[in-house]
This record gives sequence, C-alpha cells and structure tokens, in this order.
Amino acid sequence: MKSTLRSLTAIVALALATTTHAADPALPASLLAEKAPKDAVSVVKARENAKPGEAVVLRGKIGGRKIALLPKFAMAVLADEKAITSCNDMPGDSCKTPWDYCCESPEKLSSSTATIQVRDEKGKILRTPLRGLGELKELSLVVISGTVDPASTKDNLIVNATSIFVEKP
Amino acid sequence: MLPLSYAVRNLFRVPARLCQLVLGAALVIFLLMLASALSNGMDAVLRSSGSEHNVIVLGTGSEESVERSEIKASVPSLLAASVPGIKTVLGKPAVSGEIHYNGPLQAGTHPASQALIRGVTPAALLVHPEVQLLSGRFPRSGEVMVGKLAAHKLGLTEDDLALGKTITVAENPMRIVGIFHAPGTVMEAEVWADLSDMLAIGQRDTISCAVVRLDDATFDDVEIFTLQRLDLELAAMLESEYYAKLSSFYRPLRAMTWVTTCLVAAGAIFGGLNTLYAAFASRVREMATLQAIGYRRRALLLSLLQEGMLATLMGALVAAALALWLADGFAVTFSIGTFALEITPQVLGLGVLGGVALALIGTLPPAWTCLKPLLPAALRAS
Repeated sequence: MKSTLRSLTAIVALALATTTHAADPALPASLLAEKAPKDAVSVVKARENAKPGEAVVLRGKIGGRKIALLPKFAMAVLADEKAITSCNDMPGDSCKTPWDYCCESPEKLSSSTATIQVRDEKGKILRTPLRGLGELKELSLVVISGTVDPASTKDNLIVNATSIFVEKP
Repeated sequence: MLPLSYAVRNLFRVPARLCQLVLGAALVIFLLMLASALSNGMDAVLRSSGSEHNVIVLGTGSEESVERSEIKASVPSLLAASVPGIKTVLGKPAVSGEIHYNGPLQAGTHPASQALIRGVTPAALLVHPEVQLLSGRFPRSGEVMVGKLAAHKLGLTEDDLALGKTITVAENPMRIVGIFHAPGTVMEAEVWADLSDMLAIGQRDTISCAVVRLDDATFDDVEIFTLQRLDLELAAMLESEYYAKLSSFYRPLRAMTWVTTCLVAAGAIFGGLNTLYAAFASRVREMATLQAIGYRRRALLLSLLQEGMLATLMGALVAAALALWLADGFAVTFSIGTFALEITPQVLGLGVLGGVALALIGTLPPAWTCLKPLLPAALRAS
C-alpha cells in the first residue's frame, strides 16, 4: 500500500515538473557568464560592421525603451554606454523611468540601441524573462557575447546572446 | 384575499389618474429600454469589429488610436517576409497595410461632413472577411467603395452614395464603384479608397497600421517581430483588444445615458408617488371598512400593490410597443461608426423588470401611509 502511494506521488510530481518545465522554459545555465568576455565593443561600433551570422561581443546598458526588459520573452534592449545619456545621469532630472533615455532624440536613440535575445536549440526565442538573471535589471551594465541575427539590418542590430555578463554596481 | 377584479375596478375608477400613471411609467421604461439597447449596441459593434485572429501593428505610443499612428509603408511586406505562419490565400499573405483617415467628405451639393475613410489594398479583404461586396467592385485609383451605413453616418440618403455617383474627399473627386456591408462592425459605416490615393490625399509617406491575419502564427510571433525591429518603432495588439479598449473609452458616454435615465425615472417616481399618495389618502376609510369586515392588512396591501403593478405593467406594454415601433433598427451614429439599435427579448425583459421595480417603489410608501392608522381612527377618517 505504502509503496503504491509512493509511486503515485512520484508520478504526480514528475508530471507536475514536466508541465512546469514545458510552460516556463528556464534560461540555459551557461547564459550567465562569470567573467566579462574580452574585446567588447560599444553598440554604436558594433552596428557599423555587424554582419548576420558573425560573432559579436557587445558592452552596453539595459535601456533605450520604456520596457527594456521584456516580461514575456528572453529579450532586452541594449543602449550604448556613451553615445546616449540616460535620464538619471542628467543633473536635476527626476524621470521615473530613466532607462527609457527619453531626453534623447528618437533618431539618436534608434542608432544607439540593439535588441538582445536568447533562442533555444530549435531557434525559438525563449518565453522566459531575462530580468533577475545575475540581478539583471534596467540600466545594468552588461557584456553580451553572441551572434548577429540573420534578420539584422544596418538600421537595426539584433544579437542572439549566448552569454551575458552582468557587472556588479 | 381580495379578488384581482377589485384592484382592476379601482384602477379604472379615475381614468385620468390611470393615464397619468401609465404614461409616466411608459416614459421611464421606454428610456430604460433605449439606454439598454444603446449600451448593448455600442458594445456589440465594437466587440464584433475586432477579430481574435487579427493583429494590428501600429506605431508605438499610438495604441489608443490607429488614426494617430504612423508606420513605414514597408512594414506589411516586412511582416509577411519575417513572420512565419501568417494566413495565406491563394499564395498571397493576409497582411493589409491601411490608412485610417478622418477627413471631410462631400456628396453632391450637401455640405461636407467628417467621414472615416480607410485607404486599403485588395489584401484588406483577406484580413477582414466580414466585408462583402453587395454590388460593384473593389476600388482602384480615383474610386471608392462605401459601406451600407456610411450614408446614415454622414447624414446623407442612400441615393447620395449610390453606385456611379461622385464624392469629394478632401477636394479630390472620387467615383463610387462598390457598395459593401460588414454586418455589426464599424467598417459598415466607412468609405474605402485606394491606399495610394490616401497617401497622396494625406500628403504622407507612412501608413496608419498593418493588419495581420494569423494562421499557425501566434500573437507572440508578431509581437516578437515588433520588439526586434527597434528601428521601426512598432507595437502589436490583438484587433479584439484594440476595440475592447475603444469600448472602455466610450464607457462615460454609456454611463451618461444611464444617469439620464435614472434622473428621469426619479422624476417619474416622485410624480407617481404624489399621485398615489393623493389617491390612497382618500381611501383610508375604504381600507378600514374592509379591515372591519375581516380582510387583513396584508391582503389590502397586496391589492394596492396589484393596482400599482397593473398600472406600471400597462406602461411597460406601451413602452415596449413604442420601442419596437420607433427604436428597433434605428441607426445610431457615434464618432467611429454607426450601429442599429436592437430591441431584443433581453431589453424587453429589462423593461418589465423596471416596471415591477417602479410599481414596488411607487406603491409601497403610499400604501403604508394608507394602512398605518389604527382601525377606529381610520373608520372616522374623512
């Protein structure tokens, strides 16, 4: 009797674990880098030469849009660290969402940002938010390693991230 | 228990008072039915205007109004090329680039009025299958097709927007080559023109939105595209969600209708109370006599309630007849479209319930005043 109950419990637990896993695919353990990759370039610099399929190492701040860390997908907006200035770095600014860089012109913002995304082995974008990965949040300074997505254009840089290093403030 | 015939006879004893009660109740119940039909109609037209299979891609920051939105004209083709699983019809992707333009339209010698003009390509018919041509054909450059309710929306007759007639859109003459309907949606009150014409008329190189019809793709797939393309500054919304938001925008208007109805109802209730107080006050001795011969207060209260109920239900009958005759099918125009009022069984039922409530509220206080005095005092009442 006891062993039947134990088996049943195990089956239910296994089923629950499988369901949870299917609905909420976790981020790969290797995604969070412990050390910053070398030879990182700025977002603006990367945009100049990026070619689809090429490896790239980017350094920048999470920001550039009001929703810079997407709640449903493993996607984020990366802003150039120096080419544009977030509102909190502007003296006297009391913006409640400083990571949206709202003081910058739309053209400058557009040319100084990149989309970061994490795909699974099938090439689908993971339906898990990046927020919290190594304390990742808006305006976190990060170094991203990955490849330039085939959908990237000269006006829009998309990087498929394979590792993310989050600098401690 | 007093027989029902006693209440009926009493009711018809003073015909003028009966008329006053019935007409007062009829007015309130008629307004109640109108408010309900208006609210239901507006909700229904906005609900059925948006499909759960369609995603609207518009400019960020313009999620509240597609008319204010501007996106690059290349977005529809980029969507078709980048998002797998979009519905295709005979090999053509169901992605419609559209301009939603609210501008002056003149028909014949009538003064110009604000019209909703949608600049479209034939792909619009792939994403809006509700739209069906009743006569004529899809417009080419210099031509338009008009919705069946467009004439009403513009305050014109159907003849003014008949096939072959010419209308002027922002000083550009355009010939009507098609009449379409899209039952129960806001599109039925629109005028559809060629997308290139609307680009020229609006002096713009951007479109308002792209409407995508999903097949295997999900909303998330379209949303991911909009999030990836930072350069295009796009936002994606389910079409049904967009119209649900519009519906909430009109909530204050619907609330105003209900407030007006309640105010009129309050006026009518006070009028009715006044009439019944006067009517029942003169019957204190009659009620006391009935008590003296053995009828209990409860039976008398029930009889008075029957009188009130009969009067308001007659009012409900008059209101229902008026609503079916005058309001059913009446086209109501609001800023983004037109819909027909429908006096449904639910609306009629609400009217009857309103009548019952009116009878209870209007009869109980005067009846209480009439039955409250002690028997000896009541028997001596003048």
